[in-house]
Amino acid sequence: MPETRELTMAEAVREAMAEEMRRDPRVFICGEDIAEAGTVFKVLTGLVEEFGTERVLDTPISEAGFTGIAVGAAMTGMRPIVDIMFGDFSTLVMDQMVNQAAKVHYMSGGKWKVPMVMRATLGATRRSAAQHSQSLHAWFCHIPGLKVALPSTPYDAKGLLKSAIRDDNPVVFFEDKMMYKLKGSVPAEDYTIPFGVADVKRAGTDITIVATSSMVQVALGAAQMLEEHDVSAEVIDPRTVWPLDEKALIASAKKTSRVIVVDEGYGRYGVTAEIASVIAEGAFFDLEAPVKRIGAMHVPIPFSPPLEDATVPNEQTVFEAAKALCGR
Amino acid sequence: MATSIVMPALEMAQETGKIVSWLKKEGDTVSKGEVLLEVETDKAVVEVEASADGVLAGVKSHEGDVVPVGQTIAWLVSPGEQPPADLPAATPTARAAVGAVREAQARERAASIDDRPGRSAERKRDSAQPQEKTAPTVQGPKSPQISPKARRLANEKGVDITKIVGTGPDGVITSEDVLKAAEAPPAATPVAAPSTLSAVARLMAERTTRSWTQVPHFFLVRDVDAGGLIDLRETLGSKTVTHTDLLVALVARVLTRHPKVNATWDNGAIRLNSSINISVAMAVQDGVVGAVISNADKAGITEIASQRKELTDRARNGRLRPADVAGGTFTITNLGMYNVDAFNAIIAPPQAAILAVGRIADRVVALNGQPAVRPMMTLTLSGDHRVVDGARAALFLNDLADALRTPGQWITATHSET
Repeated sequence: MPETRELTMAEAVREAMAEEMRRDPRVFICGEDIAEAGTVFKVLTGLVEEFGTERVLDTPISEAGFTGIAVGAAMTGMRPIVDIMFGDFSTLVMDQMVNQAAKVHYMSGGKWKVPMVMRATLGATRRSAAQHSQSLHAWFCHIPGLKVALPSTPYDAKGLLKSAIRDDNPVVFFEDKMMYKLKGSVPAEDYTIPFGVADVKRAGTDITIVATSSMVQVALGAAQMLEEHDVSAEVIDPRTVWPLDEKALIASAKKTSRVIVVDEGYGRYGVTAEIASVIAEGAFFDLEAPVKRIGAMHVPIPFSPPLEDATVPNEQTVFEAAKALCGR
Repeated sequence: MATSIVMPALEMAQETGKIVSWLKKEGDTVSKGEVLLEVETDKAVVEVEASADGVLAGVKSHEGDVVPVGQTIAWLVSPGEQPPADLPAATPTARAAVGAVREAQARERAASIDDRPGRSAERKRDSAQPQEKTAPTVQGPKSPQISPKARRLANEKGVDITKIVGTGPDGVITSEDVLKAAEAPPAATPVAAPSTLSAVARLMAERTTRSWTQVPHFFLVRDVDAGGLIDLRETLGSKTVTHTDLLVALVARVLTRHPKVNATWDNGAIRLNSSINISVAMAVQDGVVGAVISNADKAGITEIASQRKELTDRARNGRLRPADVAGGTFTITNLGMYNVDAFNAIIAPPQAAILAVGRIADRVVALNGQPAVRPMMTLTLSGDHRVVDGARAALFLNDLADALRTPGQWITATHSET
């Protein structure tokens, strides 16, 4: 009987990195306040004690600089993990990620590769205001050469992060800062989760809710509410938004004929738009209704708690939308 | 300037016309008034004339095509001019060769007769528009909101979505609705049938269904001695006068005393018709049409006979004109030539009654207390109970039976009886 423990998301992420650092001496972490401080979210607590400051490297406040260091290190044989405290700071690393990390393998004719992971946070409702609350993962999905993972459970976080570290391509790994305390069972033995494989978090027959990251938890809550109204909701999590498991999403849409896509990023030109179009193209003749998208409102995330809460999807909004779509 | 040639609207409730043949072809120079093509409408074939001098161009519809009324089928252009790209016809310029039927009349009839829900209002609005805007808007019933899945299933299962009431949000038709409709008892005719029906057959199906389901029919049966009728026919000349002709004349004359049997049910009111126009049911290739002998009460028997013969010939050749089938107030249908003894006929609204005539056959009847062999005939009158009741209809039938006993008193060889 394999051993399973209840871990928090933070513990699962930390364990993934620790195991990969033990497994492969080329793996190292760099970022702000990651060593003694263990990051502001305390995700990396204890790692510097085991691996030392050479492999858990505190950097100056210079995202572009240390991300560039990581790209160079990856090109020369290391497997760096870059810690971007808030995904909002993606703005600062874009040239390194988009023009360097994503292009090097292609432009070198396959002679160079960039096996690095950029870890960052997303998600609102932490009262962190407009510059620390955005979910900007869609930006990276737009770029050929980058993979983007969005774990929604401790189990997925660990398995996906280990795959990311072992991947020879640059991977952007977004964790919702509000989920670090979420608990879930995680096996003790080594496992990985392949990219591009969606996971049905809850099977249902009347409506499909495609959700990413913390929105999976929101969708599961909404599904519970829907069940009390005799609506059987399926919740499916693509887990990686690129590569995207189009087949699984289309199959679920064909099964239920009604689809809501929930993602905490902005709706416009966002992840929900891409997934909705994939479903519309693949399952059009099996749909009873237009694919409904729910994302953050198209405004800067407010600091005011009631306004911030109203800006991003929650269980009630998903529940209401699903009910309306089913004509209940 | 290019002039459009559109599918003309000539008929009651006509939605489409079928192009029978083009008498001119693309590039032909034509003069105003020349016949361009023949069109089969609901009951007749009409010729469409050129409304201007010009060159026939941009022929879009070909022989056998069924085209919505008002749609441009070709253009008349100046030599060297290109026909315009597909534009909605602003002015229906084609005229029918048949002078008796004005477009306006056709539209008026269409508006009053076409009582299908949701349509008549639209049509009436159309007919109220000024002339230059009257290219009839040709559209089926408003297509319902339906989900893509439901539409696919409806296609696969041959379900008519216009007959489904949607239960989804905002009345959208869902796949569930389609599946329910598909499980319902199958329609009497396969779905593909309507497209293969000719205009006559389709119209006959629509009208008899509407009459049979909406008009409260009742039937009166009367056996009459046809001896007098046979004798009179001999006198008048059996080569030119048929039993039907005599019946037309007699019925019309008797109807003058029974205006309610010659009336019309008109939206909750009874309208007495000012003239007596007898429709004679005639079998044509794909069904039956009622060819009309107008003012039959005033017409002499020879006039009736020659009119009836002309109509029969035209019906046989599929050449009945719209005017030939318009305006009937009472119908006579005779299946005697097929050896039918008696039958019940379906009323042709807005008429209030129809007389079904069986064959004349020798039968044993009581005559002055003795059995006698007489040429007998069974008449069955169908009445619309909203317009005429049993007693009134019986009085008419009684008078008709009397007239049949002594038809010579009603009909003579000359016009003097009028």
